[in-house]
Formats: sequence, structure tokens, C-alpha cells
Amino acid sequence: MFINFLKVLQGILSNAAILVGLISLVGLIALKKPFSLVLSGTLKTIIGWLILGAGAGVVVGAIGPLGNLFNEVLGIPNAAVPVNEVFSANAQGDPVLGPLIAWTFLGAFIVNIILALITKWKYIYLTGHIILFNSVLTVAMFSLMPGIGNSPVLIVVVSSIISGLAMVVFPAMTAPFMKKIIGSEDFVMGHPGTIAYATSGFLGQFVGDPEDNAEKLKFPDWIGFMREPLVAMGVVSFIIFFIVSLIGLARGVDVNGLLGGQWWLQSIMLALTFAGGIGVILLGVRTVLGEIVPAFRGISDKIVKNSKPALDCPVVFPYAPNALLLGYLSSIVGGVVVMLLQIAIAPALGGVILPSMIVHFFCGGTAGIFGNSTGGWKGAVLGGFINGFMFTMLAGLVYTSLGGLNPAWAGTSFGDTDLGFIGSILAFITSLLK
Amino acid sequence: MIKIGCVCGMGLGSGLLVKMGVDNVLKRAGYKEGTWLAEVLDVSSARQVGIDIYVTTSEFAGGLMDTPAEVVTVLNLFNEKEIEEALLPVYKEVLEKEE
Repeated sequence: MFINFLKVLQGILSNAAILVGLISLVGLIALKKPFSLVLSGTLKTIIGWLILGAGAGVVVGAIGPLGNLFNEVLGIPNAAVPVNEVFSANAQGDPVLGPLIAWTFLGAFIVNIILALITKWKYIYLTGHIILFNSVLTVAMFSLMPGIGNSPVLIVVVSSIISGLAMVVFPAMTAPFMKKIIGSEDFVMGHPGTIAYATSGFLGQFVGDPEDNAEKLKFPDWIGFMREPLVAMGVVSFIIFFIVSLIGLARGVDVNGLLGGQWWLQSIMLALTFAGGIGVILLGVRTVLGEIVPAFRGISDKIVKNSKPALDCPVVFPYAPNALLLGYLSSIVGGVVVMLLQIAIAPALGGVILPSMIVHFFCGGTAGIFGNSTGGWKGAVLGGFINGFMFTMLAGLVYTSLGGLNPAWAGTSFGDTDLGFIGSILAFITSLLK
Repeated sequence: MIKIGCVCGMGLGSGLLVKMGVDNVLKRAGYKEGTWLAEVLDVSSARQVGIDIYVTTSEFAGGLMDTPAEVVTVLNLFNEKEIEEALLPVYKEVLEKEE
């Protein structure tokens, strides 16, 4: 009987989906929610976690042929589209890493609350999916590090500390700029492009004048579809498939065979399947976080008095929609410049990072808004460019070091600058220890 | 039941902020929990049947204007007072129409 109980306990504690369900359960009970909401909330969290795995499968099916295409046609074996959502969904389904990620997710919350209690940084990080990405990144990186990688407990402890630190230090860096953008000190930025945001906010003052505000410009309407990240992701993936296929055809490569059908039709289908898979993953992340984040907010509000929330980047979008668009577009330019550089001197800069519209839109757009706040439209253009340049560079380094984790996860990695920064540093330490 | 779609780019972080705000505002206004359902949606899948009111920012409102639903836009997604002022009159209207 007792042995069975232990087995049950071990089963629960090593099953990531059940674990996040339990985190949700505890949060909902702590907030004294009615029984029906506790039950449905807990189950929804588990369902969301399982949806994630399904979406990862869809994306992998579309991204595999893209990798083959790059390898066979251009001789580039390590091309990747950095989409945090996809790498995370892959890793969360892993029987070894999955539970560690779930524990770290909880640990990062706790470290955040402790830091907000004892330091002057009273920030509570409410962007749940980024906490998840931080947890995945640190767990993946530390699992590769000699001396730490063989101890699950140690991985969770150090990953929680690093993730928790990132959740207060990075938001603190955005505080001076946020005051300029939103005109109050109600909240700070809780989104992992901070290094690019702060750099563009800082450099903006040297290139332009906030009086030349981007909001005074007028943009054509057709550009509207670019404001839908999923659609833009599909369109740009199609363009990449199409161009590389054309090069392949010109070189006599069997492109139809590589893509599994008529190349032009498959280019459309695979690109849109890629976007669709990301859509499924988003549904999963949304379902997991729908219960956990409100619970975290309720609990932290009770423990940390006069705390300030760190929020997701779209909270600043309404304040400067034109700067958003400028930053988005110039971020693509910055990213493409680095991509060409990565191709030209491969493999000196690590992986070859293809344009990820999600990172360009959210991080590039936000960097544009930060740049605009100190340097007007010129600052916005520079800010976006800086973001595209930085994150593509860092993602290339991170991709190479995460590549060893699981060959089945090839083709994607982490994007945003802060994730790239943390990842590159951990990868560097690992390379020193080896 | 009145369905409220809280829309943002990916349907992750800021949509959830809006949902938390909407839930708090309606609860404070004295509506009974369970008589409304606030759902987080991403901008690409937000246009679906059955949504009565969308709450979003001007950035994403454009694509929702031609739906039969009411569209409420806010500037500061985290400001419950703003959500309250924008949403409550519309919510009352939709509620009356339904009854």
C-alpha cells in the first residue's frame, strides 16, 4: 500500500502536465474560488499543457522540410526560425525536461516574490508566457552544463534563481523610459526584449528629437495585414520557401521530392501549416496561463504591498502605433543584414537565423516605441534596426548550443534579445567548463 | 450569457490583462459571476461567431469593426478605471438587448 502511494506521488511529481495543474489548483484554492471554478481551472491548465505538445508536432512537421531545403540547396545545415513558443512546446513534452520546467516555472514565481519583498525592485512579472520561456531556456541550458546538468534538483534551483532575477532586473531597466512613453509610473515592461528596448531608448536621443514624433506620419492602409503576427509569419515563411525552392530548381535539386509534392503548392501549404501550428501552441499557452497568472497576481498582491506590475509589451502599442510599425519594419531589415552575414561567414556566427515575424513585430515594434520616445521617428527606425540586429546575432549563438539537446527539435530556438543574452552567457560558461 | 472577447496580437499576455480587468470590473459593478464569459483571443482568430463585445486596443480594433459585435477600445490595458468607463455602458446595452 505504502509503496503504491510512493509510486503515485512519484508519478504525479514527474508528470509536467499534472504538475502545472497542481500549481493552478493551489493558486485557485488560495484565492478561495468556488469549487466548480477550482475544478475547471485545474483541468483547463492540464488540457492547455497537452495542447502545447500537439501544436509542437504540427510545427515540427512543417519546419523539417525547410531545414532539409536549406541544407540540400544552400549547404546550410543549421538554419532556424527562432520562435520561443515552438521550442518551449517541444521541450515541455520531453519526459526529463518537462517536469523540471514545471518546477522551475513555480520556482521563478517564488524567487520573483522574494526579490520584490527584500530588494528595492518591487516588480511582479505578470507576463506568464515569458516566465515559461525563461524557465524552458534556463532548464535547457543548465541541463547541458557540466556539474549541474546531472542533478535535477540543482537544475531547478539555479534555473529558478536566474529566471526570477530576470523577472525583476530587466523590468527595472525599462522604468525610466516607460515614464516617458505612458506618462505615468503605473507599470513597467515585462517582456524579454529589454536589452534592445533600453539600448534604443538610450541611443534615440542622439539621432533625433522626440518632437519629430512618428505619430505625425501617415501610413497606407494595405500594410494592415502585417499587424497580424500569425498571418505575417505565414507569408514570410512562404517567401522563404519559394525563394530557396527557386534557387534549388535552378541548381537542379529535386525540390519536389524534398518538399513532398509540387514545390509551389507545398511552399504554400508548409508555410501556412507552420503558422497554423504556432496558432495551436498559442491556444495551449493561453489555456495554461488563463488560470495561473490571475492566481499569481492575487497571491503576490497579498504578500508584496506597493508592488508594481511588469507587463507584456502590447500595453505600450496604443501609445505609439506608428512607431510600432516603423520599428517592426526596420527590425526586419536589421535581422536580414545579420542573416546575410551569418550565411556569408558561416559557421563563425553560429546558426543562420531566418526572419521570425513574431519577434520582429513584438520586440522590433516595442524597440521602435522606445526609440520614438527619445528620438522621434528616427529613433524608432534605429530602435527597430538595433532589435533585429541584436536578437538575430544572439539567436544564432543560442541555436548552436541548444542544437545538441535533441535533433528532433532542430529548426527553431529562442528569439528575443534577453533570452538570447541569457542563453549565450550560459552557453559560454558551459563551453568554458567543458 | 454575454461573451466578451479580450483581443491582443497573440492572445497571450495583454489579452489576459484585459480579461482580468473585465472580470474585476463586472464583478465590482455587481453582476453575478458566471453571467458573462471573458475569453482571451488572438487577433487572427478573434473574428468568430458568438462574441457579443470585443475589448481591445486601437491597434487591433480595425479588423473587428465589421463584425456584429460591439467593439470597445482602451488606451491603457491595465487601467481598470478606463475599462470600466468604456465597457459598462456597452455591457448594459447588450444586456438589455438580450433580455
